[in-house]
Amino acid sequence: MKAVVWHGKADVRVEQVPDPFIQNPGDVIIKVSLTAICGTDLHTYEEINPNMQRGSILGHEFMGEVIETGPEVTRVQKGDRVVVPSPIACGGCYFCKNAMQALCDNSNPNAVAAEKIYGFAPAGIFGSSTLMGAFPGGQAQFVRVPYGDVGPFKVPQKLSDEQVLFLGDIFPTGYMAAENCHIKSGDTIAIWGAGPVGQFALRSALLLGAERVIMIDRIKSRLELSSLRTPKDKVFALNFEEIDIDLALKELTGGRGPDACIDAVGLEAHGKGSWFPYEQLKQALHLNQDPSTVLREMIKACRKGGTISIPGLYETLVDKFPMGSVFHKGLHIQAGQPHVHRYLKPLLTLIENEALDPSFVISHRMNLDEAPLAYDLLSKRDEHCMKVVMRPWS
Amino acid sequence: MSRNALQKKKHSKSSSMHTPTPVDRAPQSAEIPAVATQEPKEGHKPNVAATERVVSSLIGASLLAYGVTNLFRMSGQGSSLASVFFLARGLTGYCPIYQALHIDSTPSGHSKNMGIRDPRSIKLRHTMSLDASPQEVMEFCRDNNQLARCFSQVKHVHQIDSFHSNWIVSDQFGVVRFPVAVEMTQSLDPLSLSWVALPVSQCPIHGQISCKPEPHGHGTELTVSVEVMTPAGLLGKTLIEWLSPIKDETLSTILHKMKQLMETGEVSKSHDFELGPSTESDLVWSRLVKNYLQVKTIKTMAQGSRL
Repeated sequence: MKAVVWHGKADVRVEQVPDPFIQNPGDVIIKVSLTAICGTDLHTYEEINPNMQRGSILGHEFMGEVIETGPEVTRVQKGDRVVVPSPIACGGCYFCKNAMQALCDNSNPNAVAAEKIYGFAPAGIFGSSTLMGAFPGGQAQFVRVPYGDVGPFKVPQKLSDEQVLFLGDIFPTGYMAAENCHIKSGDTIAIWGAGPVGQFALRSALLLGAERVIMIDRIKSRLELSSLRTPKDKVFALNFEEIDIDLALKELTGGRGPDACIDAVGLEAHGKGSWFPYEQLKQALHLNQDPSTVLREMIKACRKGGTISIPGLYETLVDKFPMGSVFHKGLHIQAGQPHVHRYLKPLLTLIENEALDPSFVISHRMNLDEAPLAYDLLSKRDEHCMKVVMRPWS
Repeated sequence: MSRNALQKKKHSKSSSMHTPTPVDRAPQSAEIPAVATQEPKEGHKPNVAATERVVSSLIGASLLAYGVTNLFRMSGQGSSLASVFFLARGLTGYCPIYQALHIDSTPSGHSKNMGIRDPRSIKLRHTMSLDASPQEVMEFCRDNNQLARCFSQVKHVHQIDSFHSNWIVSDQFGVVRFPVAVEMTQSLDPLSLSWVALPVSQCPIHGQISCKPEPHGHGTELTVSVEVMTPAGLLGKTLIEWLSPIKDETLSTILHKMKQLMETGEVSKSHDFELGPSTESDLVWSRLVKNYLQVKTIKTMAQGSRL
């Protein structure tokens, strides 16, 4: 089969690799109909994630048709059209039973290595590093999906692939980020990063009752996208290269600060001032330091007693973390991979009810063969490249 | 002020400020898990044998004599400083380096296997929560064929009777194979059992499994402890810890697999993780060599301990 294989920094190739096969009785094999490139894949592409194996198949956003099932699979069958959640959940552990599937105890076959770094291991993830189990990803023609009764989620035929694909990762990521803010009527939410996750967080925050949402980015097209089908009096876009964000947020919130701040950027944050080159240097030297530019800005800007919600990915350590501000301002911090399984049904209902059409984030439609070009476009932060989806069979 | 007096003072101060409630009372010693208890600090208790003390004193005196006569040279000053360590070691019988390395060459130390050449043990201990009843966990642990699925090094288990079995252990690539005869002992507590590798196996290892119900659920807290005797004192123990698979990670991996089997009925597998990247065949060779070294180390260790 054809797959997008990572060979090192800025080196992805579309190659012929062996087809996946059923390894456990609960496995299913999916014939991928649509897949996408996520910001997390870009971290791998740019070799910011140090634990990635060369030769790994990338991608954790994919959907398709079930073509083979293990002998113990009962909930899906051949021919079903499904979206696959990016975290792999077993369905039987404490965390899965309590709807915290991204923290699954059993799906990560390399849990011991992750425990050494994080204390406890997170769930396995498709197309990820060895710490998350090194599961072959979805930027391929076929994918083996473990725990077939737990993950694959059947979607109605009336909805197109582009409408439902993002149920598997970025839509729940944005929604959970907003939900973690415990939004009350009249709240103001500030979101750093107007990329796809930021866009979904924005729309989720509005759906959850936020009065105002402030988007912060430096790419104009992304800031402009924030106003697409959103109420003009409720959404504000700020370009951090043009204005002082701290000052602007105070002005917009009567000097109190946003009620919650969302970091939809993660470990590839850009910034200005002396901190940014310092953090870039540490990252370039592989000093296991994630940048803290956005975190520091959020913690400073957030109102007292507010919430810091972090859907953006962090991998290792953060330097110069303002713990004193967190303490003295009584901030709440919520972070983590999204518990995608938990949100599949409610978010599908939103799509069916036309409350939101997730396909609005797609900027490029390509074939799988064009994956190297797509990665190149995204990594250069092309002004017009927001989200790339790829069809493996066209 | 003596340590006891300080403790009494601390105690009286805390009790005057805070009345213990049934919730926050200090746990009784019987409630503290064994893993949380530590050996009491021995302070500056002598840990150097009499002969070593005499030798240390003589070395210290010689260094001091050289140092005093060459006091204005670097070598003399260095020698004087070193003499302080050796003289103190000889006169007091206490060596901070020994203490840091857990060595005690006195007769009382030998009785605790703490001498330099005494056999040492590697102790591993791990606790894990499982979403199953204690009875189910114990049943799983008594089923050797199920249990063997948790060990990547175990190729086959031959059950001899209810308490005896023969485990065929191998490396990942099947280069080295050897049998380990295991005897299981059921203790009076139905939620605990012990096992030992019989001497014929040349593998001086034994362990214990104990279960208890989780406080606020229907799950089980499983604690597994393993002890391996190593030859050649501290050096042997250190080498085996580096080279052999007898490590915390191995025990943790086994318990993770056990948890996966009990909670999901299968061991989580990732094609890439199990087989390694196909594009880097040199990694497979390095794994092969490492595996071979590990198994050879265990066998050598076993033979050494028999001697």
